[in-house]
Amino acid sequence: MTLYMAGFSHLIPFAAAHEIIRQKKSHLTLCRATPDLIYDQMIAAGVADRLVFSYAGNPGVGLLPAFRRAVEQGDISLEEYTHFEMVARLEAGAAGLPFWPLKSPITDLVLRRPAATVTCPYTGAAVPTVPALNPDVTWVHVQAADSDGNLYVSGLVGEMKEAALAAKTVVATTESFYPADVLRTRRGELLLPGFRVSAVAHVPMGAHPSYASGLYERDTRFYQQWTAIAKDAERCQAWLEEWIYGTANHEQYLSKWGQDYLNHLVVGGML
Amino acid sequence: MSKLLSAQAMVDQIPDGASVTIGGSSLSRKPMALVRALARSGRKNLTLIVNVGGPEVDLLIGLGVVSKVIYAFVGFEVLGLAPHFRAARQTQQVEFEEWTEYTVMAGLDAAIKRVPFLPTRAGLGTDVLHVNRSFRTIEDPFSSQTLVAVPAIHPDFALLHVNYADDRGNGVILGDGHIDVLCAKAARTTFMSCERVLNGEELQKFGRDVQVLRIHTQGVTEIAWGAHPTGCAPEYRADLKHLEEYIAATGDAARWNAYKDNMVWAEHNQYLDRVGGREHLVSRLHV
Repeated sequence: MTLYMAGFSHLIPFAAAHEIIRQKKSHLTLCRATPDLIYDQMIAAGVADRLVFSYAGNPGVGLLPAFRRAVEQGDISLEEYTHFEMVARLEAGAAGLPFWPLKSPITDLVLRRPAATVTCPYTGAAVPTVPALNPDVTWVHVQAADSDGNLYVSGLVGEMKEAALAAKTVVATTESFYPADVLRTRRGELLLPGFRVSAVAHVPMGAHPSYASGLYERDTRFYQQWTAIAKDAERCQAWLEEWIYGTANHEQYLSKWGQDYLNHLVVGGML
Repeated sequence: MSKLLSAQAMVDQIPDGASVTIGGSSLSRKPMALVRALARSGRKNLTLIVNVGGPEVDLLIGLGVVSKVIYAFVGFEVLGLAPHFRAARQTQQVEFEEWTEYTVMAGLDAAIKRVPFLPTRAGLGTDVLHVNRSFRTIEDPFSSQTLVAVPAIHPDFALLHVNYADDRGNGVILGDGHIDVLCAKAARTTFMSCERVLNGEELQKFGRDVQVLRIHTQGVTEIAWGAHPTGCAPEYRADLKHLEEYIAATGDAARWNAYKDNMVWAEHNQYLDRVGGREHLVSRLHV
């Protein structure tokens, strides 16, 4: 199954990824612009055998050690794009079209994955294209949702909307959950209307260690610590045992961090 | 940097033969004061690019300054057909290219994305491809499906009317944004009128309703009632009474000349007096 866990540095659905790891899913194709720690953890846990991505790194810190190890050992196959190409793939998928034309120059990435140019029927120019990406499931984490499944995001939206509209099925986790109609006045923040959303789970701090604008900050200390944890395969597995397999759910994961630790991340200082 | 300009200074920059895309839709949020200023400027051979055109297209055709219109629809909504547009189509005095609402958006979007075309299924299996001979098809390189290739539209100018703006050219749209943002991004030069100029800090409070961004605008002017006789939600609705008078005036040369003298060859404040004055407009049209 092809899974897209959206959120460009912001609102990364970590709680959902951890639950996928706990349930020992396997043979997933993971897609993401910036795999980030979320996919490094999922790759370390062996849930994926294919990665469709742009820019694999720990933003501001360095490489993704588990990703690197999996590539070096041949445990995972790769399909690599630029960020813009990934968004263009989703835009085609969202529009129900098979391809999308790009201005972007052809890079050497095209040597490693399917690509084609078309001839513009007006100008005769050779136009690079990318194929549509239609994930089976796109997962988003949002600040607010209502019981009709309407999803609301404030702050950076990244490629969340394109990824969701391109997917066959959309599921969401949310920081806060409201009865229907309460959020109607926040129309500018509407990410997706409820009819496009199959299920919503209420998971406060579900984006930790990434951030939720207006609610809590990015846990930069953990992003920095992750390199040392993940570089050592044994230590990485021990971390997964302790923090993911060893916790029954996200609530237990958060209580392992402890209230004091999390309060430092919360905007305004209190959870 | 302040981009505040008078409407006159804006239209002074628009040369004969320019292509102009106009924001708003149907009888909603058309930049009518800017359009009247353009009409007074004496510019000729304009190409108009609209999605759902109405009084702005009809007025400029009626003044004989339009040589081509790219459009999905032109009409007066509940009041029926657009009289000058209809007459020009019947006499073929103006070149017309009929698109669809989505393809106009895709054509502007292609220009914004700097690609020569964007693919779509819109139009396949319809007469659009026969009515508009300029559309060509393209074969998808991955699955060999045939799709419509919508050519990029590169307007020289965009004219918009929004609720609020700051002097740097950010614009707040409170109701339906229509295709204004696409117009602003696709056009080489964008001029925007607004009901009220606010300072930047006040404007920021509108969050995502700040739809037009300053990097896309070259001129801003405050013109209260600048969309009249179309509406500007949520403040005032379209002036159907005035539009009925307009339609009635188009049937007859003497009445059309009188309408032009009264309503077009008038500065905006004079125009507002001639349509009954601000207080009268408030009582009739405020929502």
